[in-house]
Amino acid sequence: MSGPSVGPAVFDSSFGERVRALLRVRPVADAAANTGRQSWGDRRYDVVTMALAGIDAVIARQGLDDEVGYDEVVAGLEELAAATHPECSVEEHASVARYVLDALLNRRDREAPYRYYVSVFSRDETGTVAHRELSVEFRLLTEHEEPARGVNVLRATPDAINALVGGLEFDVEDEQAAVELMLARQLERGAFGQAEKAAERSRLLSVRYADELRALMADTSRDIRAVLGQWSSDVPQQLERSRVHLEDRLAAEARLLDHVRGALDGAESEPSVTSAAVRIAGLLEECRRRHTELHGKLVNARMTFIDEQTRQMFRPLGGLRNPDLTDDVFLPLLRLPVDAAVDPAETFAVAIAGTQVPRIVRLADLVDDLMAPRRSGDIDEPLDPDEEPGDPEPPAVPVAVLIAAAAVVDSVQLPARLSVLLTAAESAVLPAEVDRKSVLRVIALAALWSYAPESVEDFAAAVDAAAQVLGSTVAIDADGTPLRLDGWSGDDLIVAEDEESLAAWAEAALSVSKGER
Amino acid sequence: MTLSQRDLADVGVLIGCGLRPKLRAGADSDYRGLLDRYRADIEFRNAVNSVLDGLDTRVLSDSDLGLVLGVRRESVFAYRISDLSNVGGVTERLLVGLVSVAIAAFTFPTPGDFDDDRVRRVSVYEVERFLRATCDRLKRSPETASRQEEMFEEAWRTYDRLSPGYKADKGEGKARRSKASSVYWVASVLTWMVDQGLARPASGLASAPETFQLLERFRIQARELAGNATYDVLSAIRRDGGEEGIG
Repeated sequence: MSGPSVGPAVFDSSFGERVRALLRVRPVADAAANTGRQSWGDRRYDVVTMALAGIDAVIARQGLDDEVGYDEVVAGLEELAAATHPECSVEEHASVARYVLDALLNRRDREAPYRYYVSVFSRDETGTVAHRELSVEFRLLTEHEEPARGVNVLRATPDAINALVGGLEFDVEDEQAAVELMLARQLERGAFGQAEKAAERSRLLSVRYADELRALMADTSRDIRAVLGQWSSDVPQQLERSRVHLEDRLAAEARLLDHVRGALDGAESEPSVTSAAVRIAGLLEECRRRHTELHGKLVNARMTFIDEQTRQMFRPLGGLRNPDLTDDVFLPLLRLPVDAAVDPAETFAVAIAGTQVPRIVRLADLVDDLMAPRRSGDIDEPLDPDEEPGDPEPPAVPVAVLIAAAAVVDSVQLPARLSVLLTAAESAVLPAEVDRKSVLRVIALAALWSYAPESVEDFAAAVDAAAQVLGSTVAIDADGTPLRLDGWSGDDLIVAEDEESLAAWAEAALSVSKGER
Repeated sequence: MTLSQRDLADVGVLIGCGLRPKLRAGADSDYRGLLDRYRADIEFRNAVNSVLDGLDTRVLSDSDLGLVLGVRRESVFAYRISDLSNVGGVTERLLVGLVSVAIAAFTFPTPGDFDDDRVRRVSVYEVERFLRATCDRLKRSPETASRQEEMFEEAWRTYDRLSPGYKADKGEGKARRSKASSVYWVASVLTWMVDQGLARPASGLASAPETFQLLERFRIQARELAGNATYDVLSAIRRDGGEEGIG
C-alpha cells in the first residue's frame, strides 16, 4: 500500500454511509440553488431554513391523531416568508412557501423519489483503483390519505428524520438513553442552550421510534408471512425491551421535567435560562405524550399479531401476494384478440369498481329526475356521430290516414263497439290516396292504445294519434265480447266519447241482458 | 354466546355502511363502533362474512377507512359496466376495462408499489400518453409484425384507433369530446371512479388540469381483488387458448 494523494478512508466500506448521509441534504440544497426561475428569485429567502422548518412542522404531529396537511405547512412557512420580506405581497409569500414544500415532496417530478448517483471506489491488491456507480433513491416527505378523515396528511420519511437528527444511524434505544443522560448533565451544569438541543433530538428520536413500530405493524397486517421470521425470533424480545424501555422513559421524562421546573422556580434565574427552560419543558411534555401513545400501541402489538394470524390464515392464497399489474395483467390483456379481451377487461373494471347497490326506479323519483335541469358535468355527453340533430322523425302514420279515420269515427253514433266502427270504415267513401287497410288498422290501434296505453313503447305519440282519431276524452272498455270480423281477433272493445257515456252504455247493456233473461 | 336478533340487525347496519363507498368510518360513530366490533368479536365477524359470502361479496379490508367490499361478477352488488353512459357495445366495455387496467398499471407498475401508501395522482393526459406509448411499443414489436397475417385483431388496436383529441380540447374551455377520442374514455373512467369512491379530483394549485387523486380504496381494490381476479381469467384463457393455438 503506497501513499497516494487520496486518503485511504475513501476505500472504506463505512465511507459510503457518510456519502449517503450527506446526500439527504441535496434536495434542500438544490431547491435553495434553483430559485433563479422564480419571480421572487432575486430576493433572498432562506430556503434551507424554511425547508428544515417545514420538515419539523410535519414531524411535530407525525403519528398523532391530527397529522398536518399540505396547506397547514404552507401557512406556517408563509409566516416565515412574510417575516423575511414584509414589504412583498402575500401572493409572493405563499409562492415561496409552496416552492419550499413542493421541493421537499419533489412535486415537480410527480413526487417521485430523488435519485442521485454515487461513486464507490475500491482498490485491489495491485493498487489499482476501481470505480462503480450506485444509484441512491429516497424521499423526504410523503403524502398519505388519512383513513379515518380522508384528508391528505404529510409524513417525514426516516431519511428526513435521520438527516435532521444529524445523519446518525444508531440503535434508537441506546441513543435515546444517551440523550437523556446528556440532558440531565446539561441541566445540572445549567447549560440550558445545549440542553434544549438535546431535548429536541430526544423528541425526533421518539418520532422515529414510533415510525419503526408502525412499519412493523403495517407489514404484519399486510402479509404476516413476510414478517413471520421476525416475529418468531427477535420481535417478542424487541417488544418486551421496548416496553420496559418506554416505562423507564416515561419515568425519566417526568424526573427531567421536575428538574426543569425546579430551574424555573429559582428566583435568580436569568431571563434567557427561564425561556429556554420553558421551551425544554414543552418539548419534554410532548415527548411524554408521544411515549404514552407509543406505549398503548406497544401493548396492542402482540394482539395485532395474533388477530392477523387468525385472519390471514383464511385468506385465499391468491390474495396474499401483490399482483404484478404490468406483466401479468396489462400487457397480456392488450395482446389478446379483441373478442377474448372483453371478458378479462370487464372483470378488472367490475372488481375495481367495488359495490353498486341495485336501485329500483320509483315513479316519483323518475318524474323528479325527468323534470330536473340537465346536470352539467365536466364530461359532456358526446354527440353520437350518426345522429344529426335536425329533421324530426317522419310520422309512422300519414296525416291523411288519421283524418280519414277520424271522419269514419265521426260518422258513427258513439258509444259503439269496435266492430261497428270497423264495418263503417269498410264501406266509407275514402279519398283516393288513402289506403283503406291503413284506416282500419289505425282505428283498431287507436282503440287499443286508449284501452291499454302502457303496452306501447312510444307512449306519447300513440296517445296523440289515438286522441286525433277518437277524440281526447275517449273512454274504452272491454266486456269479453269477442270481435267477430274477418281478419280481426280479440275483444270487441266498447268505444265511448267519455267516461259518462261509457257508464250509461254499461248500464243499458246490463238492463238489456237482464231483460233477455 | 350466540348472536341475538339485535346483533344480526347490527350485521345488516355494518354491511349497509360498507356498501356506501363514500362513507368514512371516521365520520360516523355508529359505523366506527360496529367496525371495531367486527375487528374484535370473532362471532360478529363470522356473521358479517357469512352474510356477505351469500351475496358473493367479501371484505377486502377493515382498516380505519371502513369496510372495503369486493364483489364477484355474479354478485347483485357487482357494477354493471353497461350502466355507464355511452357504454352499450362490446367495444365500449373493452375500452372501460382497458383504461381501468391502464390507470392501475400506471400507478402501481410493480408488485412492490402496492406496499407504499403514499398519495398517487394521475391526470387524464398522463394516462392517455401512457396507453398511447404502450400501443406504440406493441406496434413496433417484432411479434406484432409476425402476427400481421393472423385473422384476429389485438385488443390494444381498439384503443390505438381512437383519436388522441388533444387539439379539440385546447382553448374553448369545455369543448365537447367525441366518443371517438381516447381522452373521452380516460376522463369518463376517472369520473366514474370518483363516483365509486376510488378517486377524487385533485385539489391544490400545483395540480395539472384534470388530475385525480387515487384514493386508498383504489389501492385496496386493485391489490386485494382486481389484479389477481383478472390474472386468473387471463390464465384460464391462456390455458384454453393454448389448445386452440391462440395466445
